[in-house]
Amino acid sequence: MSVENAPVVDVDEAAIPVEKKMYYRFESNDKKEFRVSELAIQQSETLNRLVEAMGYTSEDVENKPAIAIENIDGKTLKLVFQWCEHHKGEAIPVDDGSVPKIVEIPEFDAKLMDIDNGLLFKLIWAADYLNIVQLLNVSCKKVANMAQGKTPAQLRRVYLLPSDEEDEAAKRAAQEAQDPRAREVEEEFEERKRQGGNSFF
Amino acid sequence: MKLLNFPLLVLEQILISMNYPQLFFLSFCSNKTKRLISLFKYNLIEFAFCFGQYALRVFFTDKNKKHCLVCKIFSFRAGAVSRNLTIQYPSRPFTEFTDHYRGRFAVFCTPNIRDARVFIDRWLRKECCDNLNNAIFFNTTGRPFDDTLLVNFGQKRIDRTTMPTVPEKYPFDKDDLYYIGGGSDKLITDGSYYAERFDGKFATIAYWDTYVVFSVWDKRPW
Repeated sequence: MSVENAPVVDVDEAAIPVEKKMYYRFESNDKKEFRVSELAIQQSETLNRLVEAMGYTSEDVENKPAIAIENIDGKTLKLVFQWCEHHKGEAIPVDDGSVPKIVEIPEFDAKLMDIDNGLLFKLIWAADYLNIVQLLNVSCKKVANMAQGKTPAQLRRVYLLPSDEEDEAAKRAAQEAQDPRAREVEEEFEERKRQGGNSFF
Repeated sequence: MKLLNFPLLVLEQILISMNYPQLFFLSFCSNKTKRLISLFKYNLIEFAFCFGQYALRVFFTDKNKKHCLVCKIFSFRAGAVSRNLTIQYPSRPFTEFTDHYRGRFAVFCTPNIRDARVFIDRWLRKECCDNLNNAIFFNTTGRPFDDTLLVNFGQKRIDRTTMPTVPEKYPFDKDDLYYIGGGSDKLITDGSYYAERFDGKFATIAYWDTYVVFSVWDKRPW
């Protein structure tokens, strides 16, 4: 089954005959609705805390409006929930602080992230916002892997990195656009620093 | 994708997922990227840059270990990551550079397949890099190496069904894997090419995307 066709909602309810699984409803900022299992939600620390705080019953989930996720669009949210459903029940990794970090990208995740850079960018933002640790790990690894085999000139193009000259020009433009009074305060602050003052006040 | 538009915590995650050669190449992009790497890669301290005629050497200390990175990145020629050794004259031709090399692990950043072939020929004649355990040829153009590299190996391949005593994976230690980038699952020995040197040492060679992994075994592993 391709990733595109993978169901967002797990329909294999027969696997847990005793306890009925609860599916929460979420709505993206472009009004697309998703039903996500309770277990899958646990992959997101943000959503997990949110639903715990809401304390919805099965009836509430059906009768109350879907939970709105304001800053994520439907296309991105679909990928996020596909990932959560696929990895539901898995332990959330704890960062051991090792540098460089060794992250394996599973086949499913690699296919899921076989998307254009714009959408990958949104997926990373969503993983960060929803605090989905492992999705953030694999998506960041995917971005890191883009650097493999690249020269500095190629890296500038891949990551759209401005040169030092462009950075300087942007800084000058920002300073010129700054409020004149704020600039005066900043200059005064710099002057006092040069004179050896520890505090502006 | 504008890398610098990511939130700082995400940026940190991306940078700590990169291996050393990638980070150093990134650090050459601008002063801002260099500052970011210094900020997040808190264990990389004491940077020192040394420009030669054709090469740039970067010395750095990673916790208690001293490293030297030699890059000819500006001409896209050769470069190396070295541990255990400071290379004396890295701006000379590649063969002279390998003649001086006494480290046990190296990453040669070279798009020139001839350099890799010359290196293997010389190693088989015991003319260079005799302390070497593992070397990675890293194609900076991003293209895989072609098969002509294997001419010296007579197209002999490891087949673990008939050579069950060969380890399933290359025995890289964790530090070496940092340089290669990625997990150990890809470093499968099965299918690698191999050759025997006159003094009984064995070399294996494996392809992995833009990398060629050259490994030395003290004795026949089967």
